[in-house]
Amino acid sequence: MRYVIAGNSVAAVAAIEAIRRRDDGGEIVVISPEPRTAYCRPLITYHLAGQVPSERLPYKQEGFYRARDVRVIYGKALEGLEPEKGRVVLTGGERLEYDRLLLAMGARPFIPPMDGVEGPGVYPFTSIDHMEAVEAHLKDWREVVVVGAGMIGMKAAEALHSRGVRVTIVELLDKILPVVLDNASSLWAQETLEKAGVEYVLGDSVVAVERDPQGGVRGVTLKSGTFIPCQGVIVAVGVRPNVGPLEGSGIEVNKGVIVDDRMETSLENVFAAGDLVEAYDLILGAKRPIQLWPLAYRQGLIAGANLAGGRKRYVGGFPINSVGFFGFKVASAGLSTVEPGVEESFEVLVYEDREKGIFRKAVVGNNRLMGFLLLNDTSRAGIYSGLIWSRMDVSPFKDALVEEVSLAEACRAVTRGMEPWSFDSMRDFRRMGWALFPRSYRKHFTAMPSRIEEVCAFESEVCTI
Amino acid sequence: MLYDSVFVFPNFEVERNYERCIVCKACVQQCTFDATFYLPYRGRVVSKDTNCVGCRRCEAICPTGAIKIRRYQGEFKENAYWTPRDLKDLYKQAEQGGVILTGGGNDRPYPIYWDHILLDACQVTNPSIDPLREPMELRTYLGRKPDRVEIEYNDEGEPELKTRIGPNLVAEVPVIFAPMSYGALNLNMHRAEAAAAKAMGTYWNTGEGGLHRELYPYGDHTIVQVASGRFGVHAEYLQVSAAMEIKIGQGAKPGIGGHLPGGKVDEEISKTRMIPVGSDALSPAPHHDIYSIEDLRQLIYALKEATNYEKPVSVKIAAVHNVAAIASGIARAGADIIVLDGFRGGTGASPAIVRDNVGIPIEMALAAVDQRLRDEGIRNWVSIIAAGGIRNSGDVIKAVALGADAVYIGTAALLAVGCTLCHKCYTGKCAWGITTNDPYIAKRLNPEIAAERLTNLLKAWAHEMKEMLGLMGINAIESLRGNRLRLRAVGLTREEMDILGILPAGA
Amino acid sequence: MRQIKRRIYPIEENCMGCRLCEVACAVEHSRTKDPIAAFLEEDWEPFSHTVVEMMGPISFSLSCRHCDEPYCVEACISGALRVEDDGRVVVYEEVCVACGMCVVSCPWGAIKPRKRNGVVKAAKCDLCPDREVPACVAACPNRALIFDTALGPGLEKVEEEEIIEG
Repeated sequence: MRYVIAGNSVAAVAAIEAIRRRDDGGEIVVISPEPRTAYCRPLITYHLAGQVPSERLPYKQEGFYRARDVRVIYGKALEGLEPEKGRVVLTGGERLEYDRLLLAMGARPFIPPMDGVEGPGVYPFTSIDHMEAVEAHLKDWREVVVVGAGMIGMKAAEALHSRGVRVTIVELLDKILPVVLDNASSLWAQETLEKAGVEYVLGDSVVAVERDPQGGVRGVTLKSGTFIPCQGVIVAVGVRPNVGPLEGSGIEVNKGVIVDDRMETSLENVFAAGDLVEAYDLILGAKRPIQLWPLAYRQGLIAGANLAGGRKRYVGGFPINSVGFFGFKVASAGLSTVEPGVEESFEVLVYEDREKGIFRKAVVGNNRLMGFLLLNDTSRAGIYSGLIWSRMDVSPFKDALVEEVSLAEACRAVTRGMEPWSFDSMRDFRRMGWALFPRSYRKHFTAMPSRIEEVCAFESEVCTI
Repeated sequence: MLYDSVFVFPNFEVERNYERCIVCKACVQQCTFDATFYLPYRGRVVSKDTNCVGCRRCEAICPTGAIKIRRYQGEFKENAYWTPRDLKDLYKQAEQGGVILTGGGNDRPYPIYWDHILLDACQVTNPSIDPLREPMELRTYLGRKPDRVEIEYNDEGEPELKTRIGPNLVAEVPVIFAPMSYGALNLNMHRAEAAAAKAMGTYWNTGEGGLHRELYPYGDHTIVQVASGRFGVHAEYLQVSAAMEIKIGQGAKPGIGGHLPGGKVDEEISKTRMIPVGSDALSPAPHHDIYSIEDLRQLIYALKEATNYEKPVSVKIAAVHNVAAIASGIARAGADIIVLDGFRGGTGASPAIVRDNVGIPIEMALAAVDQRLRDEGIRNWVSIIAAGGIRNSGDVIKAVALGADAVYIGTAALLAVGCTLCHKCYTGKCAWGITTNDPYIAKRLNPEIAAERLTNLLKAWAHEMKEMLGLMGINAIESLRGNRLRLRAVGLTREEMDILGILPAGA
Repeated sequence: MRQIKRRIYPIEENCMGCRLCEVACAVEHSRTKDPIAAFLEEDWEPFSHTVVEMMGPISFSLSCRHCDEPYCVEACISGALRVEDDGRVVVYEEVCVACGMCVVSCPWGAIKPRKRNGVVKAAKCDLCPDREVPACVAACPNRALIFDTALGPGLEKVEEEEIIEG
C-alpha cells in the first residue's frame, strides 16, 4: 500500500499521524513543494516581528517523518493527476504511482489585478519564502502599503510596524477585518490603529503599483486617485484553493475540491483535506472552503484515517478566529459580522463597556448560537465555540450570554449536552472527555461508595458503553 | 453600627488578620448571615459583627487561617443577676415585640446529672473483660418482651419456643438517630442518616415530616413518625418502615406544636409532607384525637392494624413532671417502645423561653420511669429509649445503666456533620448546610461525607462502649440495663440519689 | 491498547462554590507554593486553571478535560499544545506564541491566557505533575471534584467504535 500525500502542511501532518495509527506497514510519500519540513504559516508574521526565532518555525522536525517512516520528496510539487493510471505528475514530469492519494496542496495567495504588480517589491505573505523576501528588503523600506485588512494583512502590518516601518493599510471594504468584525467593533479596531500610528484607508483599492525607472516600487495609486508613496507592497487580500494542478483530471471542483463527509473526492481512492477543499460548514449548512488551520488539521486527521480504511466522518466546521494586533484582541467564530437589527432571522445580542474595553456580541438564530465576537476580554471565548459545536438550544439563558454574569448556565448546558447519554446534539462528544460525573452515580447510593476507586470502577464501565 | 438600631449589641466579632487574608472571598461566599462583605473600593473583605451568629463557617473554610471568631469584647457593666443574654433578649423584644425564637437544645447552666454519675470497674475480686479478645455484645432488641417463655418439645424431642414474641427492632448499636424532620433538615442530611443507619445496623427516625420516596429503600432501617400534624403519613409510608412512632412531645418544647414556615416548603417537601407548596406546616400542640390513654391506644392499634401487627409502635413523650405515670399508661396502651425526651433535647425552632424553662432532665425521668415500670411489673412490656442531650458514649452507658434500652442522638449527629451549635436552625440559613433547604446552601452537606462521619461516630462510640462494658466485667449491654449498682453519685443530694436509684460514691 | 486516562471530574451536586479549588490551583502554580506569598507577595499574578462557574445554586469547578482528540491541539498553530503519551494535554510554554486559537477553540473555556513576567502564554490544567492528587481535588472540602485515574478507553479503542462520530 502506497499513500501519497501532496502537500506538506498541517493537513498532511495530521494525515500521517492518522495513517500511522492504523497502518504501520504502508509506504507514505509526501510531496513537499517547499524544501523544508512542515511549518506554521501563521507564525511567519511572528518571526518577522522578531517574536519567534527561526528554529521555532517548523511545526514538525525531520524526526517526525523519520519516526513514522515517511519519505518526503522536497522541492517538488504536484503538477498533474492521472487518476485512471493511478499516478500523479510531479514537477519535472516525474510520475509517481499511488494506491491512495491525499490532496493537501492548500491555497495560493490571491493577487488582484493591478498595474505593475509584477516585479520586485510586491509580495504576498503566506510562506517562509515571502517572509524572507520581505526580510531582505526591510532595511530599504521606510514605508509599506499593506493591501487587505484581513488576518494576514493586520498581522503583517503589526510585524512591519514593530520593525520601524511606516505602514498604510488599504482595504476594499469599509471595515477592518471585514470577515470578522462588524461596523461597531471595526471602530474599536480603527481606534487602536490610530493610537498605534498606523495609517489606514477603507473603501478603496489599489489600481496600480507605481515603479521608478529602475523597477523599484515608489508608491501605489488608489482607485480614488490618491497616491501613497512606499517602497514595498504586501498583498494580503486572501487565498484561493490551489486547484490549478488538478485541471483535466476529471475531479469535481467548484471553488475548491468537493469532498464528502469522509473527505473523499469524486475520484476513487483520492481524498482531499485542508485549505484546498470545500467541506461542510456547520453553520451555513452548505459546503464552502474555509481556510483555517484547525479545520485543516481535523480534515487531515479524518482523511488520513479513512485513507487507511477507517470510518471517520467530518461533521463540519465553522470559522474560528483569534487575532491580536497592537494589543487589540479579537476572538470570533461563525457568523460574527451580522449587524444588529439588519436581518430578522438573527437575534444579535451586544454588550459593550467602553470603559473596561469589553465588547461581546452573540448572534442567535433559530435558538442556536450562530456566531460570536469578543474584543479584548477573550479568556472564556471557548465556551461560545462549545455552544456552537453542540448546536444547543440557548434560549433558556440567552440573556446571560453576553452580560457580565457567569457563564455557568451556558457552560453547564455545554457540559450536559456532551454527556454520552444525551448527546443527540453533540455527535462529536467522544473526543471531549466526559464532562461531568455520570448521572447514574447521582441516583442515590444504595451501596455507599466510600472509596474513590469504587466510584471510578463504576465510571469506567459507563465510559465504555 | 450605622443603620442598625442603637439597641443591637453584637454577640461575636470577626477578627481578620489582613496579613494573612488573600481576598479569595471564600468567607464572603460561605457566610449565609451577611456578616462578611467584600468591598471592591477597599479591595478588602470586611465584617459586620452584629450579623455574626458565631457559626464559624468562615473560620473553617478560610484557606489561610486569617479569621478568628471571638466573643464580642465590648461588655456590659458586670451584673451577677442580669446576664448580657437577658439584656440582649430584652432589647430585642422591646424592639420587635415578638417571641424570641431559637433552635438547638437548652444551653442554660442547669445541673448535668451525667457528670455527677461515675461508673464502676472490676478489680481483683471480679475479672474485667478485654473486648479485643472476647466477644462483646451491643445488640439490642427493642420492643415488647413476653412475661415468660414457654418451651415445647417437637416430635423428635427437641425443644422449641412456644411463646410468640412480638415484633422487635434489632439494633447492632443501641444508638439511634433521633427524629428530625425533612423540612427542618434537608434531604442530604436524611440521606446521610439513612445510609449511616444502614451501614451500622441501627435505625434512624424520619421525624414528623414524612419520608422522601428516594429513601424508601432504607425503610428497613427507618422509624417513621406520626405526629400531630400527620404530615406525610400514608399507608405506604407506614408499610415501608421498620417501626412507627407516635410523637406526643418534644424535649425542647414540651406541650407546644411545631411550625415549618411556608417559605421552606418547596416542591420536594410539599410532595413528601403532602401539603401545598409554600403553605405553612403547622403541627398542633396536642393530637386532636388523643385526649386520654384510651385515645392513644386507639391510635397505636390503628397503626398496628395498618401494618398487620408486624412492626413495633413507639410513643415519644417529653420528660415532664409526672412522666412515670404517663409512661405506665403508654405501656398499658399497647406501645412497644417508649421514648423519653429530656429537656436538653434539640429543636429546629422553638420559643427560647420554652426551650430554656420547660421539662426535666432525662436522667431523672429515665430513672423514674424505669423504676415505676419495674414496680408495676410491666418493664418487659416496653423498651425505653432515652433522648435529649446524649453527648458521648459515657452518657449512653450511664443511660443504659439507669434503665434505657437504647438512646437517640440528634444534636450529636448534627455535630458530627459540622454543626457548631450556633442555634440558628430556625432561620433556614444554616451555613453548614444542615438545617436549610435552600438548594444553594444545602449543597454544602455532601451526603456521602456526612454518612461516613456518622458511621465513624457510631463505630467509635460502639468501640468505647465495649471497652466500658469490659471494664465492668460485662459482656453484653443487655446485662447492664437497669444495673444501677454499677453507678455511683458524686455531689448529689439524698433526694436526687433516691430518684436516680444510685448510691453515693464510697458507699 | 488501553491507556491510562486521568481526569478531574466536577460533581455539580456537591459543589458549594467556595472556590477553594481556584485558590489551591493558584497556589500550586505559583512560584513559592505558599498560599499567603502566592497571593500577596509574589510578582506572578495568582492564576487558577480551574474556574468555578456559578449561577444561583448551580456551581461546579471546570478545568481541562484532557480530551482524547482535543480541539485545542488541533487549533494550536505553533505545536505548543500536545497530547502526551499518558493522555495529558500539555502546553509547552517556550513554544507558545499566545495566538489565542486554543482559547477560542476549547469548548469548555478551560484554556486561558496567563501573563507571567510580562509574557502571555496559554495556560491550562496540567494535573499537577508534582502531586499525587491534583491540588484542586485535594483542596475541595466537599468532594465536589474527583480525580479519576481509572483506565479509560484508549485511543485505539475509541477508533474501533467510530461509526458515527467525526
